[in-house]
Amino acid sequence: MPISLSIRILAGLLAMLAAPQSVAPPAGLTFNATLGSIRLQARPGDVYTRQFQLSIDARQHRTHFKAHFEDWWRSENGRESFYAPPGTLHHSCAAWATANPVESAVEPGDTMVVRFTIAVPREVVTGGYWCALTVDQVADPETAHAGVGVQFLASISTGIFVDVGAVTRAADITDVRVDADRAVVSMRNVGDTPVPVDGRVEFLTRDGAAPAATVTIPRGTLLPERVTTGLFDAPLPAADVLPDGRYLVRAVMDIGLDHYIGAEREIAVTREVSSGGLGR
Amino acid sequence: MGWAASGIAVAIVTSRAITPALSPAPSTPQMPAATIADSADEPASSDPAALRQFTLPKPKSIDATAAAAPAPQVRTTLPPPDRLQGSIGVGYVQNADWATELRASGSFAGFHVDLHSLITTGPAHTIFDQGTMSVTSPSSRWTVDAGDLFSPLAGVGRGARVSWTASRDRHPSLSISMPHAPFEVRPTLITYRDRWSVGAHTRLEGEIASDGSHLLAAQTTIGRFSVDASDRRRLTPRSRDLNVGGSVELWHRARAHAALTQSWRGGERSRWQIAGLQLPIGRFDVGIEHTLTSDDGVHSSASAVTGSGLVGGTHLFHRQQWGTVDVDANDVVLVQDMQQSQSMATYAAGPRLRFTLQLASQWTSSGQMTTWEELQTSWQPRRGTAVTVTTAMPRITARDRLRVRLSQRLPWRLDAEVEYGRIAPYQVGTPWTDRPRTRVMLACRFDLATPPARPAVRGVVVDHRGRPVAGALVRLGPYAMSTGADGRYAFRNVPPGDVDLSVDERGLPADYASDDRRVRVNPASKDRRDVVLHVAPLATITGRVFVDRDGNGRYDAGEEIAGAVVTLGDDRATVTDGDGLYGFYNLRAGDYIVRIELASIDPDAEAAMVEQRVSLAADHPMTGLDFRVTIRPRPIVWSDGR
Repeated sequence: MPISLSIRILAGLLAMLAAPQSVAPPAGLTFNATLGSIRLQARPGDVYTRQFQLSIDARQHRTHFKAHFEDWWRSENGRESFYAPPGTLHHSCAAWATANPVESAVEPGDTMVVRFTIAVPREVVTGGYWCALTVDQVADPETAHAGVGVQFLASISTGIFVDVGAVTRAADITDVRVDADRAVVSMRNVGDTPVPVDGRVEFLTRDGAAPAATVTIPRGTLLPERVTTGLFDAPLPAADVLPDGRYLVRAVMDIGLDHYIGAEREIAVTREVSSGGLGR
Repeated sequence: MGWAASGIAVAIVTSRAITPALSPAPSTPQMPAATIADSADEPASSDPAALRQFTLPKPKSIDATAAAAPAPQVRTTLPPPDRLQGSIGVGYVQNADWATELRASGSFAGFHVDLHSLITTGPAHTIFDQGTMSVTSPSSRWTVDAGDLFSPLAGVGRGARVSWTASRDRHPSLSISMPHAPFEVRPTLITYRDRWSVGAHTRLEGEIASDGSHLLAAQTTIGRFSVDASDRRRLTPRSRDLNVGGSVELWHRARAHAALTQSWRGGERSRWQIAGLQLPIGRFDVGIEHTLTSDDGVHSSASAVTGSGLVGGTHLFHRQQWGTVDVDANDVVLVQDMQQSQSMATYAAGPRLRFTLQLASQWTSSGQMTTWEELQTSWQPRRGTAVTVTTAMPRITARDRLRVRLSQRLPWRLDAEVEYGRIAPYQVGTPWTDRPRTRVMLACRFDLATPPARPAVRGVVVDHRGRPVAGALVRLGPYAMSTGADGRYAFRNVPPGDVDLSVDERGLPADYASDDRRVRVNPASKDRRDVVLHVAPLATITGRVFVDRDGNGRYDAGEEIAGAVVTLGDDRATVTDGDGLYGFYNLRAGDYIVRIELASIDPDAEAAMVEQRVSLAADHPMTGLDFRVTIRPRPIVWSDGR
């Protein structure tokens, strides 16, 4: 079931203003997209066609959109994402993808249906491939002016993941630690396909069978290329729940296998004033 | 919610400085608590601060591999395959015998199949107790029956019969039938039977056997009157049955009927006559009939009144019969009056509970009287469970009259049935006992997809050069499927009738366009079973807009113009990006005019070619369609105060 993404645009820097007449940035744009991420189990030569819809509220202006595919990866702490032309990554599927229409205008109150196709090449090494489908709001030809200017435009992206043949879904937990009032689990993707990651960190006292506290690690992704390591973290509970002390800290992580992977170590936890987390 | 939707999309959008009101907060599955010693795969380190890794089993109820909801797609639907459904069961009657029962019904390769067999193991050893198999051709023009057969002339037998449709009004059949002891004592017979329809209201039937036995029967309806008659002569053993009957509909639900049957067996004649009337009286149906029988010196005369109807939530039925029996044999005449009554009341106390009470009594002038009272309670406590309890009334605890039956649907397509009471054994001829006993039957249901036989509509989707197009959604009436890597599609088992065949653009690869043509096909028509569908590949026009500042006639870094408007024909326009690049995508082959709107660049902009004509081939993108712009220099007008 597609998810509906309601994007409230704050700002997207397109160009610098230098034209004699200034272009007023449009009011905040709201549009809806039935654009959930796509995960396909494919064989070489398979062709998949899907659709998504872009809807503009009746109170908005006519809006021009352009869809394209690009490579994508993220930083180790998950805070930044990086984009590059198709083919930058060895595991890129951006070059396999096409969209129709690539560029189109949507009138207020209307819905645009975009179909896109993933054509897996016949000669491709088995493994996991991924890319990003990005839909950008672009300048409307009816109101565009050449030169340099500032416009605030919208953009939305989602991931496309294609597992070709039998993939190796594997990851290691390389460290479990407590940093600045956050539980941190370091992981490395040692397989050949992106893996989803979530889980929990338990704090056990020496005499307690049940954990004194449990921290839930929100979902993230661990990629097998460019940045293969990831830090997955969550804030510690309040000090009265998890006071200073020595704990057996156990991470139990789910990477989409039929079992969990875990790692544990003893850590002396000293509660401090939070200095901010790693973020996600 | 899938992991990718919540994880990847958040990351991507965030990096673009767009505040996402994205998916709901990611959910975390419930995971079992870990126990270190039991779950550790690797030996524990002696250093408690060292990292120890382990694995944990995952409960089956958690599907952490589930990806995000897939993007919308046009669903593939295919004609349903032929199916064969049925059950196979094993039963046991306590202290009596065993049985294996097989039931199947459905289609196999287009043939309709019905099968029922009962194999029993008991005092008579293992025997094929009962069984029939019927196979009907896909066109229903012929049917083969084997096993236990019945024919009006030969009676019950075991053999085979072929029936076919000779014409719309004629349905002959040929059969071979062996006697099925203990029901019949006769030789093996080969019989030919024919049935005719004469007009819409008359049926004729004739059957002749290899021993000379024959049967003629006719039935016709003329207006409100219906008449039927038959004459059956059997030579082994020698007998004849003559029957004439008729009925007339007097008015709505009111009908009068009468019949006469006369039989001769071994020189003895018997006769049975009946006349009756059925009348609706209010909410009740009332029947009156009078019967005369005569058989081997025994003559009887009986009259009966029946009534049935619904009172409140209770369905009532009653039959009252009275008459006399005269026995005139060996100069002894015996006359006896007789009365019988039967009553039944059925009450449904809801959709799951029903009570049925039956009462029967019989009196004779000699003083004999028998009565029978029985209460049956049917209860469905939940779906898949049914209980039926039959008891005497009012002595509901009488164990010799108690009968309980429990049906229970079980997992793995199993059905169990347990019955307790005075139960007949499976094998015919096995002696009954007065002691209650238990019968258990366990059956396994099956539902198998079988090879289809109905016609297929197949073909290929190709582009303008005849190259196959993979992954194209082809729609045939209500059905849809995608082409394979070779561009081919095949809808099998398609029901007969005209349907539209087309390429559905919603499921066509994005770099193709459909011609929206629909082909009318009838799967039964052989010349339309292989259809080639055409789609058009789409192409692109791309280029750059630049200002040729150094006048060298080509683009150099820094000369690109962002925000320039470029039009394609009269209805499409785009704007150059930061690199001065523009593109028109998803274009069919054809001639186009691409034009630069100089006013969108600068009031002093000029171009040697404001518009360019392009002839776009179907599968060749047009690249490098650049627009070279120059900015007309304005003259400097020096002021007089210089």
